Parts: sequence; structure tokens; C-alpha cells
Amino acid sequence: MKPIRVLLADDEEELVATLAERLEIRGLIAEWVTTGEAACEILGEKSYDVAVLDVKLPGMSGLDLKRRMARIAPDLKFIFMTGHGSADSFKECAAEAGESYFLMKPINIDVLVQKIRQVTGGSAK
Amino acid sequence: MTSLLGTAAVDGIQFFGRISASISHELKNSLSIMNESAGLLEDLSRLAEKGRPLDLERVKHLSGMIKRQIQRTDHIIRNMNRFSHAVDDPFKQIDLSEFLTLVLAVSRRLTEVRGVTVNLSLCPETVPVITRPFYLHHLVWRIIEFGMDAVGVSKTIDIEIHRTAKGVEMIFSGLDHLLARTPARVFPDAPDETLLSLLGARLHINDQLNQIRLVIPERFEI
Repeated sequence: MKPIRVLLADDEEELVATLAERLEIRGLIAEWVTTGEAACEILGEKSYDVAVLDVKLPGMSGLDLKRRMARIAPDLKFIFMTGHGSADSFKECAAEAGESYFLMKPINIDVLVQKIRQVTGGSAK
Repeated sequence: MTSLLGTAAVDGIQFFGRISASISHELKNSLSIMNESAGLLEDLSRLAEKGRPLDLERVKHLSGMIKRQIQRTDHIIRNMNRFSHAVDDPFKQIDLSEFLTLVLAVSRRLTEVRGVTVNLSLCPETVPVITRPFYLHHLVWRIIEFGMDAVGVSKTIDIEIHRTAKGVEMIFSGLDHLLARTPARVFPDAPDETLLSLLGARLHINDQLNQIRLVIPERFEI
């Protein structure tokens, strides 16, 4: 079975870099970017099964980024993570990705891995 | 004056909530980094138990990361505390440079999310003013918020402080689209005018220089 490929996008570099390393230890292939532009750029070069996006990235909301990324890679699945617990953020993201795929920071790594497996059906395409 | 204070209080609560929510987001980010760093240390320890050599440099790096985030969190909380105490005294003597540094620190996340940088040119000497700190903070934020819709391609707002014969002025520049673009809202609008009255301040919009100039008295007490 091919390992699941994950792209992480969050402007906190230390967060995404560490999270990527922890996902790799759990058998996933994980790469990270810190801007929405970089996320779209890398998606033009490589393919991923799931993108884990911060809801608020500098200069671009996670929802706008999700829509742009979905145009580049229509099969890509999405999980949102946020430090904001506002009802508005939740509604918006839940409408885009489903309630189950909206995670609050700090993230529980086991829950994130479980969600990644769920959203991808357990394997890479 | 009482009705002005009432109006400003309602708007002020919304402003206070907005800044507090932004600070909470920053705290969450910092906690998340500590969470992942501690988690990775745990992962590496488990792998070491299974026989994988433990990279001590990696451990030191992760410990350093946690320490830095603790310092960052402490800094955020100290700023949050100072921001919260802005409502303690209706009038207070403040150092304007120090005050604006705090304004930018607590709203940093909100400007960053818009992709805008706000630079403050600090005065070499202290600039003491007696004012209503909370209302001044609110008005400066409203100018920055408006400025983010009018900022030029550099996406940078520069703030300078000058003493003048009429008081102390804060110049917000880099606002290339003050008139060229339809702004998201009228400026100054009613809440801005209320704050200007409560601060005894004046606002000048200069579309030739792409600047907004806010002049406040050095001593404003009622």
C-alpha cells in the first residue's frame, strides 16, 4: 500500500515542520509550506492525497486557499485546523470540509492521523 | 459627553473583544508549537526505546524551541495584561512611543493576516502625553484598519511621531489608495468622530502625500 501524502500549510514554520516530522514517524509522507502561494505552487509540481490547512493564513484565508487548491487538484481532500474557536469559522469550514475535519489547535496527533486516514479512505490514490 | 462615552463604550467592547480574540489565536499557535515539540520529543524517546539512536542535537533543538515559545507566550501575555489595564484609568500619562509599540504588538496578527506590515519609527526621546489610553488605542487601530484597505503595493504602513506646537502628531503613511480606490467604509465615520471628540484630537487626510495625520493634545484632561 502506498503511503498517504500530506501537505501541511500554516504560517508557523516551527509548527508545520514538527508536525510533518511526527506524521512521517507514523508512516505518512508529509511536506509543509508557510504561505498560500507556496501551497498552490507546490501543488502544481507534486501530488498529495490530503491538505491540512490553517484557517487563517497571511494574505489569504484557508477557505480561499482550499478553493484555489481544489481547482489545481480536484481529488485533493482537506482538513482545517485553527486556533480560533469562533462559531463563524466553524460553520464556514464545516460547510467546506465537513464538521469532522475541523480541528482545534493544539492538535492531537492521533486524532489528526485518524482524520487523515478517514478522509483518504485509508490509502493513497 | 455622557452619550459620547456610551457610544464609545459599546464600540470599545467590540474592539476589546476583537483584539482579545486575536491574542488568543497567537497564544494557541504558541501552545501548538510547544505541543508538537513535546510530542516529537516523546516520539523520539519511544523510537530510542525500540533501538533507534537518539540524536542529542535534535533533542537540544526541540528543547530550545519549547523555551523560545515559552518566552513568546510570556511576552504575549504581558502585552495582553497591559492592553487590559488600558481601561483602568479614564485619563493617564503615557509614553506615546511605548504605547504605539503595544498597539502594534497586540494587533500584529490582525495585520499579518491581511499581509500588511506596520512599521513604527520610534522617537529617540520619550513622548509623554496625558490622554484617554483606551480610546486612543481604539482610534489608532481604526486608522490602521482603514489604512489596510488603502495601502500601496508595498503593503506597508509607516507610523511616525512628531511633536508640534499644537500637540503631538502621528503620521500614518504608505496609503497610496486613499482616494483612488473606493474604501471599504467611509473614513472618518461616526465612531471615529466620537473617538476624536473624546480625545480632543484632530484628523487630517492628505491624499497628495498619501498620509493620515492624527494630532492629539499633550495634556488632555476633563
